Amino acid sequence: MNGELTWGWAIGCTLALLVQVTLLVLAAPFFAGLTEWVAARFEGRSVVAVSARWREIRHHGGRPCLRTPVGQAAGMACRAALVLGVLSCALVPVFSVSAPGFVAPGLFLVCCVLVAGMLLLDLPQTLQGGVAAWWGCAQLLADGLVLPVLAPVALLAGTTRSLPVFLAGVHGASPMLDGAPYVLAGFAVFMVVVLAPWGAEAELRMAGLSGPDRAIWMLASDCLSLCWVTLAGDLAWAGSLASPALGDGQDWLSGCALGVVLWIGKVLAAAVLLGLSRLVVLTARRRARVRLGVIFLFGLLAWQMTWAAAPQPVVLDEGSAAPAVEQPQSRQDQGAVNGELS
Amino acid sequence: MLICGLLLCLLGAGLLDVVPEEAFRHRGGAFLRWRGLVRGGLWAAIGCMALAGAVARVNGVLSWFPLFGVDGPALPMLSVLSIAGGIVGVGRRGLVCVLAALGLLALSPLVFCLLAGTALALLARSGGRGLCLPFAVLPACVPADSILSVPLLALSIVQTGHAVGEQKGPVAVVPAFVGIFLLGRLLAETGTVPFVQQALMLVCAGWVAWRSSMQALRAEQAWRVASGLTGAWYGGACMVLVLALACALDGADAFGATLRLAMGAPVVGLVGLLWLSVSMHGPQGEAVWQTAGSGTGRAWERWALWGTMLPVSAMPPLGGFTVLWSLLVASDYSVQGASPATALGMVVFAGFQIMMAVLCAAGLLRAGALMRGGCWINGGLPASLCAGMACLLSVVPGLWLSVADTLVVGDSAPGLSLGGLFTVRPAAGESTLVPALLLLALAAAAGLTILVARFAGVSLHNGAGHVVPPWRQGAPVYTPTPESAEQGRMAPVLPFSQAGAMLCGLHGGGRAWPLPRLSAMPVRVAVLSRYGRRWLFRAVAWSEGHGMVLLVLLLGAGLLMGLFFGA
Repeated sequence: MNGELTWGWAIGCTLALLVQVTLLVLAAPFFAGLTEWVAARFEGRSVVAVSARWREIRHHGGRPCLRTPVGQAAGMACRAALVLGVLSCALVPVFSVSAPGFVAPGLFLVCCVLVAGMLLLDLPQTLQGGVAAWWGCAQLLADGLVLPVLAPVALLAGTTRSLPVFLAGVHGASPMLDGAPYVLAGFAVFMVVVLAPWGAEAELRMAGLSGPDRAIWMLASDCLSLCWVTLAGDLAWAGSLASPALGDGQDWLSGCALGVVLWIGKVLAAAVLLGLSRLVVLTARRRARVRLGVIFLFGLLAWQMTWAAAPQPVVLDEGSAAPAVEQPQSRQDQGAVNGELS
Repeated sequence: MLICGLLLCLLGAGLLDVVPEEAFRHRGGAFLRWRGLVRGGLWAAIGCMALAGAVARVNGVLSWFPLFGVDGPALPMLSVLSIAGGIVGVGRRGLVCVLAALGLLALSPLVFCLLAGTALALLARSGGRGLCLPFAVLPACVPADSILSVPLLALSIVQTGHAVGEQKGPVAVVPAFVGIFLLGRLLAETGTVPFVQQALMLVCAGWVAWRSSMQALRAEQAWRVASGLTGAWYGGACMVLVLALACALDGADAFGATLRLAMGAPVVGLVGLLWLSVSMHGPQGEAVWQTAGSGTGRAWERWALWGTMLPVSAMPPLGGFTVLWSLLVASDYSVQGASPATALGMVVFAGFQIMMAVLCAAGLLRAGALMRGGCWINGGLPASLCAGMACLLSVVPGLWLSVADTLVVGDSAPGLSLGGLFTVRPAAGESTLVPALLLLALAAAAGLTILVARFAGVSLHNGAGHVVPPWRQGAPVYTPTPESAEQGRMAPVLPFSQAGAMLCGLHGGGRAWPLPRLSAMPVRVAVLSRYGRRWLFRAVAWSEGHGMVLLVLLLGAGLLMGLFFGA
């Protein structure tokens, strides 16, 4: 495809978005179940099946809803978080970037939506009052401050271009060679999920909810985690995404199929990494601090590596997917990276 | 002629404020009831005239009274100030708004000093502060290229910032507007200033923002929380203004667009929130959790509360998010092609502003928790109007950008088209943001969610539940007895600052290091050395406790050296 957006491409992109949302929402509880399974196997505990999370969600969906007097607001917050979770499933590219000219968000907007969803999920614990409010407020701060520490990653992706344009620009960069800064940025985003509360802490966050509230909370939480993981995978290896600008319809469809297979591989690898990270035990406060510090430092490092190699402004043509200046920079980038690390 | 009309309306509003009630007592009580409405009508007329003047780019001096005229940022700021003036009550506060509005229209710096200084003096609540505060407008009297000008400006930022945090109600935006007007005027004259002075102004504005957000996170009264939020907004706006006018950055035009956006929807929402925090009838300061659900207060009033809070918070797609987005675009433009120190400073600045936005969102949660379930005079109608206006301005930001074009010296916005109404275009570049599209995406996501919930077998209808008492597993519930409540030992509502201190490893909520009271110099030195040793030991213990984080930090610092000594 070259030139402007035709109706065919627009409809194709919309259909791809719908497929992507369905895929992500269906796969999210499976991802959570898989992480649990891997962690249990590494720790030597008895395992439950991977589909246990979906069954739990459906079970709670059928239970009666018991609410404390503040439960009305908590229920609203859970539903709003689910809406934001579904929206972020549509915004994060899974197997293909959208065609140039199609409406697309920037990285900062996607991060904002994800963080807002996480904040809404922390509200039910805060609304309970007493000691739970202390931990809820600490969790709200720890989740909310993820957005400022992602500022270097947002500047790396560039707020002047949308996420598909940025990803198409680094399409040719291999993760092993000149795409190393982007792997670091993907790692920084992955840390949001790795150092998120798990186990007993996560149970406490939804302790006051029951019935459909609880089911919606769990589904929203799983959707948000999977979206973070997918975003991290996209940043780290943008070459796995199909790009409409690189060919015509047939090529794009086969690229999408390949993208789905690669995405499944990335998600499996992420599940194994997450299960491994459960072996590290940190107190809640320390975990929150380490999360913020690590995301900021890795993001800053990634931003500095790309900035030092390309200090002049990147010129974008209207309607083309790949920025024109980046290709000759990639060799210099590699040279600069090797020069600094040695 | 427009200026004539504005002046007459302002004088009328001022007279209505100043004339005491006894003059009407024997004339008829009916006029007292209508006084509020007449005032509101006058301020609405002022607002409309200012808007019309801003759109028509009116510029000039009143020929028969050359003290007043319109130049640059006066008209857009006046249109926003008129909202605050309209909903503030009669009396001293109304007079403050009138004086501040007259000061905005003044052409000569001395007249501005006089009017704005009187307004600030009327605002100050205690004697000592009342003496110092009017000196915040002193920089207007100092010539722009004198060496004292910028340090005095920094001092005036700090003073007006403190003043904003002290005020009760919508009149809190008046010191902020005076400060921004003064800062904008003087920086437009001085142009680019040396780096030390830039850093001084940025640090002062950042200090104002930090202190105000801490006030919002700690205070137990709703009006203090709202004033703290206003102060945090003011500090952030000052930092953006300094970067737009006083630093030679590539993104200066985009910073100007950020400031124009920041003076639009978020201010209107803040004014509504400030009004709500002082006009409550209901219980205040008690444990608001125990009020039964949200049945108290009509739906109108609930919309008033949440509707004013949404544009101020950074939730996409409304007002605050647009400001943050354009700020990041401006930082992006400034980072490309700048020196390493400037680029790093830009990254830190962007992170700081987003952190302020997140802390303000936490403050908004506290304000909502403190004001939940209350009922307001007039049924919260003024706040609903503010909320409606703020949401409208968030959805059509292009309109506001073209209206407020003269607010900051810089590139003028392109002409308005139908698509341009809904678009934010910070500078002549290729990045745009359309909040209306985000709203559509949210609506589509809501529709998809209903489908998803249907598939998962979950009912999305909220409110279909039995209300049960909280389950404590048999433990007794701690209820504060009336005696302990009088002594003030209640649990803080939404303890954000204490939880934040706990997260950072400061035990005791940050009050663990009180300053000692010393009397004589040799004793002072000896005691200071003892304290110094104690602080040193504490720092070492803290470092030991946080070894992992420090390793990571040292790694990061070493790698950052590559920024300066590497490429």
